[in-house]
Amino acid sequence: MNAKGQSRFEHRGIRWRTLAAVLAMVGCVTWAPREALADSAVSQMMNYSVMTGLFLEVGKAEYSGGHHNPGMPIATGLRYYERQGIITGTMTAIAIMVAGAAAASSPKSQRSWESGGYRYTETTYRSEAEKAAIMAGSAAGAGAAASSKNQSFDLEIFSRNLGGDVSGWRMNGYFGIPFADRFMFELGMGVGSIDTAMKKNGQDIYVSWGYVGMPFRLNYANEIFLLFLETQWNWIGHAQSSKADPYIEPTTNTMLLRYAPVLPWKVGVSSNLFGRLFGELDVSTPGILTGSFALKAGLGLRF
Amino acid sequence: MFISSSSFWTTSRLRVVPLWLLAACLLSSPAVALDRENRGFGLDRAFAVTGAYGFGKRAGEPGQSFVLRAEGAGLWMTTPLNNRGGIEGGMELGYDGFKDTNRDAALSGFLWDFWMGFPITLVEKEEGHEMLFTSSLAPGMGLSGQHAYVYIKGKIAAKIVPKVAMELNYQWTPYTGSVIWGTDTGPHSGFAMGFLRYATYYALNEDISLMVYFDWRQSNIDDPRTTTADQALQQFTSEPYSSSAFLPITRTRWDNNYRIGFGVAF
Repeated sequence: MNAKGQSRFEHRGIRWRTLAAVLAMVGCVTWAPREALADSAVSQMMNYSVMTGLFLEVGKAEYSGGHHNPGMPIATGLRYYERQGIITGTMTAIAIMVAGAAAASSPKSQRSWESGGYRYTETTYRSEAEKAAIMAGSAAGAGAAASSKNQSFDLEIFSRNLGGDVSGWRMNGYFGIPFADRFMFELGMGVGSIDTAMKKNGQDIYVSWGYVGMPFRLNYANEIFLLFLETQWNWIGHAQSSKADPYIEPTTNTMLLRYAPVLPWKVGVSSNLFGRLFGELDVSTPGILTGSFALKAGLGLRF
Repeated sequence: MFISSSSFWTTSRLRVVPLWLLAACLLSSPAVALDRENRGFGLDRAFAVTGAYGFGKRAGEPGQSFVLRAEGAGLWMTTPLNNRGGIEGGMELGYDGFKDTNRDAALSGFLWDFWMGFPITLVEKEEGHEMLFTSSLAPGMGLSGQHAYVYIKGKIAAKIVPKVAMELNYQWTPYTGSVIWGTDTGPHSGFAMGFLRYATYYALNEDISLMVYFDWRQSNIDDPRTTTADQALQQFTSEPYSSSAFLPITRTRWDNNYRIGFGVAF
């Protein structure tokens, strides 16, 4: 609370700005001359490109409590989105090499027995040839991962300093399988940690969200729009009760919630305008049957 | 012939040539592998080795450090819109003379920091194979004695007069992008960090520049809002909860650190 008794997270009329941003984006894409958009979606999907900019998400998103959150959280942040690049491959290559080195230096077998009141252990180590074979295998795997053409990387940093209620980050790395000319199916690994602090009808609401899991994304590039359908299978959700129970702290009337839905879905569209401008719109739900939705708009530049 | 025809190569300068050659052989192999158009460090370099003296405060306690720093960047990928992308990375090793008051440094007394990032150039200007201006943005991650962190780094570099280039870097680690060692089982504990560096390069020739830099790191450990809220969540039903999660951010313990460095860029 500040001196006037207002919470930092109280509604400050940002919804009008949200609406304006969304309308501006829809307008740009709808009324832009066709030649300014020519085949930009295929180029964006199939070529090395980096998109970066700001985003704004309003609604019951999976990280801010979904349908358990009585309020309408606002998320603002910064996005870094790479397609057909190197980040996912490089990180995977490092993981493979570390795992390979650990495997190569681990003992091959161990047996122990007792005799005359003493305990004996016999350890068999891998031969140099076996170590070399493991390392060669992991080097080949690492090389393949790093040089894989179809990979993408998506990093979102949520910040309250930009006016939202949400703080944290989410990162997804994908490897892609292109098919039927204009489609690409992607799957990979993702992690994230986000918290939401807001106020609704005089009640403080605090939501904590964690994400370790696998994203799956289906992309379709028509001439102008890159359409996608995505789910991020969150393993942390399996460790929690699927019906998250909000806890109301009685003395301060604060609602505390830890909620990570297992299969949030997202459908969206992105487009490049005049080569450089990048816009994306998507609708997400923390679960198909929850009936809750969040709308996200992003605007930035393509490099 | 080259040596005798140049007045630059005096006897005393020639004496240190073996040292430079040794340093170049040991440290510039990544640079040698990069063509001119693939370089991504400074204005038109690939790799640098520098030494630095640091002073300032950590957790309110004064201290100093001596650091050897090696870093570089290669940008060999080009987008259809003509921006270059690739990898940057580096490491720092040295003496860490700060008190480890909170006992959260790994191997305190020994300073270490490794990082890797993925820059993409934003705007560049080139004239006849000579780079005049470059700017880039890079997300990255690192491990140091203090914490594991992610960062976003912005860079601009420009040629100001013949042979002299300047570079300005800003690297930002948000509070949520940092985890202090040994706190994996507790509430989130990390620090926000901003790191500004100004460097000047003086080109001895096409392949070697001298580099002088000054950097200013500002870090902040306290973010009472999220830490207390996380603690409250951990205790959940058993302990009384303070609603300080909803207070404005009050950052009180800023630690300022400064460094002066000197070295060679290849």
